[in-house]
Amino acid sequence: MEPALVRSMRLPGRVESVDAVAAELVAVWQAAPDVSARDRLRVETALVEVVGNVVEHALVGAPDADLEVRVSVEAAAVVVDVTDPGAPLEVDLAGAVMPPADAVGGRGLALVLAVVDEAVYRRDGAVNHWTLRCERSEP
Amino acid sequence: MSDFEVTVTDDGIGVVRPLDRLTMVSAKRFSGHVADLIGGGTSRIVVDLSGTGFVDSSGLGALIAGLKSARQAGGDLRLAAPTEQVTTILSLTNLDKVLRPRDSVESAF
Repeated sequence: MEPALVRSMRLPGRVESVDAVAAELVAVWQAAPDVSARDRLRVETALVEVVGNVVEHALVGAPDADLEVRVSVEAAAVVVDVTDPGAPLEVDLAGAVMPPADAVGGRGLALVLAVVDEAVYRRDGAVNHWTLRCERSEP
Repeated sequence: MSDFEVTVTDDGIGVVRPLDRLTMVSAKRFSGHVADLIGGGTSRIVVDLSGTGFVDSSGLGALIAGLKSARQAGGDLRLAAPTEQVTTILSLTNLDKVLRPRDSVESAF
C-alpha cells in the first residue's frame, strides 16, 4: 500500500484564512492528482466551514493565535485534522440539522456532516481538535 | 482577494457578480452591495454566479438575507448560472427550492 501524502499548514486565526486554506488545498491536489473532483469539493467545503468556525468562535479575541491544518491523502480516504489553541467550543455535531430554507444562519455544521463520512470535535487538553474523514470515490 | 462587479441593466435590474469565492471573507461586502442597490431603488436583483467557484454557509446566509431584503422592498433576488460547487451546496442545503437558479442573467426576470 502506498504511504499517505501528508501536508501540514499553519494559518493565522483570522477570517482571511477561510479563503487562504482553500488556496493551500490547491497545492495538495496538485500533489495528489488522483483525488476525484467530487472528493476535492467535499473536503474543501467541510474544511472551509471548520476553519470559519474556528476563526469566528474559538480564536475570536486571540488575534495572534494560529490554527493548524493537516491533510492526509490515504488510499481509501482523505483525512483532515484542524487544531487550534483557542477557547473550548460547545459543538453538538450529533444535533446539527439543516435549518429551514429561510434561515440566514446555522448551516455550517450541518453542511460539514452532509459532505463528510465522519466528523469529530474533541478538546485535547488546551487544544480544539477537529477530524474530518471523506471516504474516496472513484476518480 | 474576492471582489464583485455590480451593474444595473437598462431594465432596472441590479446584477451582482461575485468573482471567485463567496465566503465568510466576502459575505459582508456582498450584503453591502445588495443593500446599496435596494437603498437606491433597485429591488429586482440577479446574482450572477457564473464566476463564483465556491460558496460557504456564510455566503448562503448572505444570499438568503438578500432575498428577504429584496422581497421586503417589493422586488426579488434570483440566482443565475451557478457553478458545480454552488449547485451542489444549494442542493445539499435545500436552498435550490427557494433560490431556484436560472440558466442566465438575461432569463432571471
